[in-house]
Amino acid sequence: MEKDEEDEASKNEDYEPTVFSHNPTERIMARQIRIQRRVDALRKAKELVEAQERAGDNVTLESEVPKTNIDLQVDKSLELLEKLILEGEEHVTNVRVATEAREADRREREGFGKGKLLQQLEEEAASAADMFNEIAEKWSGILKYNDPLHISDDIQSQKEKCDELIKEKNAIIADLREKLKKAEINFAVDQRKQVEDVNSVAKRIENQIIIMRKAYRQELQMVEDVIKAERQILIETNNKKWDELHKKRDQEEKSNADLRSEDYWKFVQDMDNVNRDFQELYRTTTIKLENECDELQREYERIKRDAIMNSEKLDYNYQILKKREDENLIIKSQQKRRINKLQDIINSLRKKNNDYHTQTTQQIEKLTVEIKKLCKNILDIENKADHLAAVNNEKFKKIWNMNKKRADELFTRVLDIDKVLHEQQLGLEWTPPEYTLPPKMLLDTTKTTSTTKIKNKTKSTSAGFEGDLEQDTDYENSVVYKRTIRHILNLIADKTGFLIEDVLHKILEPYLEYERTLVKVDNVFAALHLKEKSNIDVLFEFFFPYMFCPICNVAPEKITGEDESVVHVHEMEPVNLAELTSENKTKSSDGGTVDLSIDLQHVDPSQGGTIVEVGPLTVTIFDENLKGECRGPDKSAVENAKDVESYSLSGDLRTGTILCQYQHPLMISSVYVLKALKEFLSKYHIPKAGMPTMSIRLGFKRSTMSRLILPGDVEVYWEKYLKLFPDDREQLWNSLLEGLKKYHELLKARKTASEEVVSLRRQNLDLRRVFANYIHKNDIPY
Amino acid sequence: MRIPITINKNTLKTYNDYDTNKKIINTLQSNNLEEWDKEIPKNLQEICLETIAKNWEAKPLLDEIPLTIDQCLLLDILPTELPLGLTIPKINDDIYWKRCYLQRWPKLIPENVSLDIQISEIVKVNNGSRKSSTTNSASSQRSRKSSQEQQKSNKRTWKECFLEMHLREYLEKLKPEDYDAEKIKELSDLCGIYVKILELRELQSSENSPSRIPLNAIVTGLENLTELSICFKQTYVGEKFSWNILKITLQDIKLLAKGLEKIHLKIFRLRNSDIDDEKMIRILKSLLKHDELHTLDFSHCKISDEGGVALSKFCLLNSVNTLVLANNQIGTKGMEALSYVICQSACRLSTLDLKLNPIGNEGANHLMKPLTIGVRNIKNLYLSGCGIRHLPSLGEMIEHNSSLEQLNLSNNSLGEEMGKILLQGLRYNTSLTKLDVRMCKLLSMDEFEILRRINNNKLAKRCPRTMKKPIIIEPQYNFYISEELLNEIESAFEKIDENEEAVDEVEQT
Repeated sequence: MEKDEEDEASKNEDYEPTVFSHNPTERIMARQIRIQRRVDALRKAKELVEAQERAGDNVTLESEVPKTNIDLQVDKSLELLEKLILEGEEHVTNVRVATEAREADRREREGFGKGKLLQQLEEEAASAADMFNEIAEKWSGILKYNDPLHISDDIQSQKEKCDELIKEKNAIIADLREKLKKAEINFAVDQRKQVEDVNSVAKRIENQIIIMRKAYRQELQMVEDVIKAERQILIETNNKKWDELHKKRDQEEKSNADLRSEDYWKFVQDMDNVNRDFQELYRTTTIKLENECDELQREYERIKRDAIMNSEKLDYNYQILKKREDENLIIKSQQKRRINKLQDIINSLRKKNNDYHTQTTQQIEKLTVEIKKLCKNILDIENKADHLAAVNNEKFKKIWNMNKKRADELFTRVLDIDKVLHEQQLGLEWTPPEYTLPPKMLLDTTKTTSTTKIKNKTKSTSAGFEGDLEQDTDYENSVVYKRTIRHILNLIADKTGFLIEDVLHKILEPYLEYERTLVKVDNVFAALHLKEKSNIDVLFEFFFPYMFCPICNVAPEKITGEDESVVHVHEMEPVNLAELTSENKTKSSDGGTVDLSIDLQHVDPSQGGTIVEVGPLTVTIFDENLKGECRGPDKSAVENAKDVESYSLSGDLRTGTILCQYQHPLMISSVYVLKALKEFLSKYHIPKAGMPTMSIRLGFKRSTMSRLILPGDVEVYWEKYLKLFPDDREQLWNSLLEGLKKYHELLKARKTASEEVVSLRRQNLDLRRVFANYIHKNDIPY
Repeated sequence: MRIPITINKNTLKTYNDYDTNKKIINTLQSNNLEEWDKEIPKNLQEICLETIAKNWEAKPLLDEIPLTIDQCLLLDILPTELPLGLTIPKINDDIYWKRCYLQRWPKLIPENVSLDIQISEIVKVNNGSRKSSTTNSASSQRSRKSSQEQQKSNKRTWKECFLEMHLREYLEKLKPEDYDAEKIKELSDLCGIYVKILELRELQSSENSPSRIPLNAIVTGLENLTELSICFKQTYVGEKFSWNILKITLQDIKLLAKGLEKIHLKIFRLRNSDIDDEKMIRILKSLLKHDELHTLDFSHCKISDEGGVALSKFCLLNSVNTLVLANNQIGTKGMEALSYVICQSACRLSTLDLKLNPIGNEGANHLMKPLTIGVRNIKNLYLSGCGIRHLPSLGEMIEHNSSLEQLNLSNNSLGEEMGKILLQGLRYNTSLTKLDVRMCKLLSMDEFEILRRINNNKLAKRCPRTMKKPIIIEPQYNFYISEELLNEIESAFEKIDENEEAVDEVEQT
């Protein structure tokens, strides 16, 4: 049913594919058409809107570029030609189709005929085969017959049959031949047809070509005509335009000419006016100008005169300047030469300088090497000297001892001899004389003092002070002393705030005055490396000179007249200090303001107050101090013993010095606290390390005992031995010597007499012997 | 006046026309192109060139001549009868070869050749050759390169045309008795590079045996050959007719197949010859490795169903896209195999010509199936004279197919009803631009209507804006094929192998 409907629908011309169709292709087509329509509608709407817009803008533009006549004609021609080509193609291919159709027909027919023929042939072959078989079967029957008649009959019949078969076959052959002939005729006909076809195709193609050529030419002609017509139209329109333009131009030219003539006349009138005015003006100006001309002539004359004058002057100046220039040239050349010479000299000097510089550097190197060598030598020599001193001392001691022994021995011999003389010669009872052997003590005391001295020198004064202080123990405990010490400590705590760290200040703020001072003093002492109690006493020693009695207003030293060496030292110090401070001030002006104090601050905690390293200045101070120290004891070396005693005395004195003569407690001005402290530090902390300078080295004397003892001393010592033996005994000895000498003489005379006797006796004996020889031996009486 | 060959004849004509037309008006004629220089003696340059041309055989000079214009002149006056052995390696310019060609075959204007010789090209080529004129080999290389350049521009050169024609003429005239292997070798060496198209319209057979000249040597020698067309028949029989003229021996086909294995063709045609299935399969086997093959033509042969099966297998293995099988004997079975192959994606066939094959209604029905389900490769289909009758699936196919552009159904007695069916199918078809239904026993009204529809399609295609998109339906079901036929397709070539072996064995025994 549906199909019928569809068919009906398809018959209808206005049929459109529906989306609800059962055919998928139709559905797709329907959708495509729908989309196409929508797109078209949209485009139309858009075009409408655009057209409206254009209308609004009053621009008369066509919606599409209009197709020109040429395009139209070309399209038309193309269409026509295509149609022609299509027709021609069909026309030509019709022949092919026809032949093909014929061929198909032929095939069909032949196929049918062939099949029939084959069937016929097969049928015929089958019947022929049957007949043949029939005949063949009969042959065997015939062979069995013996009757010739029978045989001939049968053979006859066989022959007939064979003839029949052959006839049939012949008929078939004839039939086939006929068919073949027909086929040949057909073939010939076909061939002819083919030739005809080929001819007709060729003809048609030729015709087609001619037609097409004609058509193309025609179309070309038409297109050309159209182009020409269009060209004509274009030319006409353009000509019209040009004509219009020409007309317009003519009109404008005419109007222009009118305007120009008007302008010209106006211009002529104006010119006349202007000319007139100009003439008048010209006249007046000529008059004015002539006047001015005269004036200028005059001026010109004046200027000319001046110019001549000036030129003369300038000539003269020029001459002078020329001469000067010449001179300048000469001078310049001279200067140049001189400059060159000087340059040469400078160069030579520079060279010399350089040479000298290198030489000096070389020399310096050489000298430094030499110095080093010498230093080494010095060290060696020092060592040697030390060694020699020790050896010398030893030798000296030995010789001294030996001599002493000898002297003692001699003295004892003398005593022995004296004793012998007394007892044997004089027969007196010998009494030993009153004598005392010169003691060895002399040598020992010198030794001790000298050793102490050496100690002093090497170990610095502190050792000496220690020695002193031992003696001071007895007055330490006194109340006055304690008070003074406390006073001093308080002062120190006040003034030496810079030695304490800032943090500590903050920490200490809430504490009591007493506690604060205690901590402060502790810190200061830690900074100064004071650890022992005795050190405080030493400190006191230094503060002592600055003490004064606030009541009597007198410094205690001057009254007491203390140990001279110490005074000497202390007297020296302030001067040096003053120098130092002044120096410091000058330095501070230079910029290193807190040099010393800062250095103190920095060095003290770390090194324990080795102020030596503060600067060269302080070093020199110490040198001097040392010298002073060395000098002092050297001078007083002879009176060593006395010194020792004086120390013991000073201990008593000091107990008194804490108080003034009127028993007032002594005070110290705060000004001197730092000074005293500085002194103390400078004394207390001796430079421990560092190379001793040359002067120190030279100043250092190896004071062994042998060197310290003066030759006078030695003489005195030995002269003591001379006085040991009493004089009366000597006189005795002398008189005894006289007696003995006389006795000696006597003895000598006696001796000679005895010797004469002896010799005479021997003479006698000899004579007897000789006599006996002449008389008989026995006859001779004796 | 000597007019260089490089000048277009039409140009010259216009000039002369101008002369004749304006003769009456122009009293002063300064443009007499014919006679004006007859009195003027030739200049030395020309005389020199003439001498060179006269003695060219003894002393070939061309690249040594410095001026291009002189070279052109020399090529213009050089005699065309010079031996090919000398001219082929020496001369590359088309001026000379065009003269040679036109002198030898004045009526056979070749296709796809620039009739005009572009002067700029000549100058370019000559400049190139002049730069490298120091050695002969270098120049020849350069010229070869230039010929390659021309090849790129898809235009054949006159030299190629001349040599192709020469070779063709030589081979067509050659009798098997006169066959000389050395001569053939020499010729193929000379022309090998230039011959790209070889079209043998006939081959002479010997008097006693049906065998032809062996083609393997010459085919192997032409290394650039891309197009080969052979017809194994003799056009003019003469008085000595024997059936041998029409027959081809298996030996000839074997030799040809051997030769084909060495080269790579794009187009192969073997037409109007005594080719049965076995011979065709032999040739197909040798063509299997020709990757660029796109056209295969076996029209007017004796291929039957077996051959159709083998061809379908070949289409699966090779990328051939045009298959011409006009006037063969392929029946229903071969058609079924081909239809199956069309369905496969490995097949690239776009044109299928089955003219005058006894396919019958059933075979056509087989073919309609893959086309209906949307095989998109096939564009052109020729089914004229195939014995198709009333076939409703044809209408369906036209309705659903969206790729087919040309369909020839002429000479099939479809009957009047089919006219309606076709019209119904055309309702939704937009791709078909040509449908030939002549001699189909349709009503003339229907025929006219069909033509109108087709015209509409054509017009729609011309203006692409309004063109409707072709309706594309993805293939929905596979083509059904019987197992037996499939196996047959698979073993199409092997069978021949077996046959061959059997034949060999027989021969040996």
